[in-house]
Amino acid sequence: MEAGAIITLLVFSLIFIGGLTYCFMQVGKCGQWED
Amino acid sequence: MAEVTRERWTSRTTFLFAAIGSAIGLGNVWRFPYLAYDNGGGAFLVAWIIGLLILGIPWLIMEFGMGRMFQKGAPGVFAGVGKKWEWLGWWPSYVAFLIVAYYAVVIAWALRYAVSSFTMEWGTGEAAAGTTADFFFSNILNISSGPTDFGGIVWLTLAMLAIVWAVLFLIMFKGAGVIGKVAVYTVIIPWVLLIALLVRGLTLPGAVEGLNYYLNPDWSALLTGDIWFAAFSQIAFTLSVGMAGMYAYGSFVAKKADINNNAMITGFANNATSFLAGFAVFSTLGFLATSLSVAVPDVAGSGLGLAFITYPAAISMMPAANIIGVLFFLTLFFLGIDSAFFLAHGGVIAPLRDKFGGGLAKWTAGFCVVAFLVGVVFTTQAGLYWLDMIDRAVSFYGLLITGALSCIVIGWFWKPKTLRDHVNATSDIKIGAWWDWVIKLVLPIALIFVVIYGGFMNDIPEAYEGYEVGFLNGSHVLWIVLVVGLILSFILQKVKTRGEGGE
Repeated sequence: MEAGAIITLLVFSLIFIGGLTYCFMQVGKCGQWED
Repeated sequence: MAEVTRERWTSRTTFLFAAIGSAIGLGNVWRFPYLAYDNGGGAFLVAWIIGLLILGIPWLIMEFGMGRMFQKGAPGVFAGVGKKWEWLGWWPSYVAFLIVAYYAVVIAWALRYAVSSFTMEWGTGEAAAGTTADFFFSNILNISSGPTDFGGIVWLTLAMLAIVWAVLFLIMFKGAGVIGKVAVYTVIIPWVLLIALLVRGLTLPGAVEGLNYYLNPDWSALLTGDIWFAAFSQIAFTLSVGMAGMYAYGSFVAKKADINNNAMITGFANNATSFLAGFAVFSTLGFLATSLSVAVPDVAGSGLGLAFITYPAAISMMPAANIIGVLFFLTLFFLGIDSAFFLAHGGVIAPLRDKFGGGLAKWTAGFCVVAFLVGVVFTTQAGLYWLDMIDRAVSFYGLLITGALSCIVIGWFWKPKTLRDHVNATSDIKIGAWWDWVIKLVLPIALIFVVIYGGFMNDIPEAYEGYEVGFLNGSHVLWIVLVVGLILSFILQKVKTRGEGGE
């Protein structure tokens, strides 16, 4: 696999994992998890 | 006034799965990967993430938030903004109705292919790989010479369509409570199937070559208009915003529940699914190119061609082809079905009940029968031509124009700060004043850019796809479909509201 493709794979995997992790870490700060 | 008890999600989990299920659909598999490859690979992903953050998530927050605030579907929301704007809720409902009418036919084709996969009806081996286009156009569609040459109904497709609508009725007739529970499965099952297809794809020869085409960045693409057009349009189409349904889904959310964080989770989960699907698709395309001794660009494609011609060609050359075929087409079925019940229930049935009251089961049954009957036209031998034109009219123009107008009305003729305060009061993550300006300026400008750059500049000077429909051409049909929707929307606005919260 070419270097550019590997970097894209790693960066965007981190963005999605990091983005979703951040969102779930905020759960319960104000809104209710179960309605 | 007929009393109607508002439906509710049974939990935040079910709401999230329903929202994610409505967002992820066939486009995540058959549109996104090709756009990425065709617009600079990794560079496209950058534009696409920017589009998600500055357009997609703010738009989702607006639709969820307005629905929750007014406790209504799209027409009720805009009637709440001002009675004269109610039509702006009905127009996207009309868009949702037409989309689900043909979307169900595409799901029916996927079901037909899943059944055909058991016996590999289109054949196996390299020889069969060259005949999949013929199989699709002749055996599945029995396609005619043009839009006015209807031929006859393709009965097997019609039977599959009836099954699809029967399944949709059973999911929808008890409302949000059941829809949310079903959505948990219709989201998780395609995720599992996509991972299975991904693992299969990655273990095939040539997979890496395909992934290089998918991911390798061409940064110079970021300086062109094409990449931003492609990224913004993909964000607009993939999140199921602009189709009325998200207002209704937001209205089923409890008063104290979160909005902003749910919108962010929905957006990230949708885009992550697209990213994952790209690996399954391009590893398989790499395998197909290697097997046929051609370059990946020679086999890369999108839309119906990718799903029903290219992918079956790749499947025909794999070991255990029938199992992979069933897995792939069931993935399409599950990806499509939750978008379909979102469009039907959130986009049309909930707004009709808001307006006219009445029982959910009766409205659902009536809707399913009418949408099935409208869908019959797409099961004729001319069905693909009409599907293509209606798709262009409503899924492109309808969605983008009504989306831009909605933002303008909410941003300039109402009070976006009121909505921002409303959603911030109960949300885990707060949004700032920047959001008001996204709704007022950024989103309308971006959507109008896509309409002009990708639409009017092509369809005004030339007939859409060169179609001739009697004395009209393809572009005339697009404008007629849109104007009919607009007229119906004004008529519905004039009708007295008899449902909950009527005048």
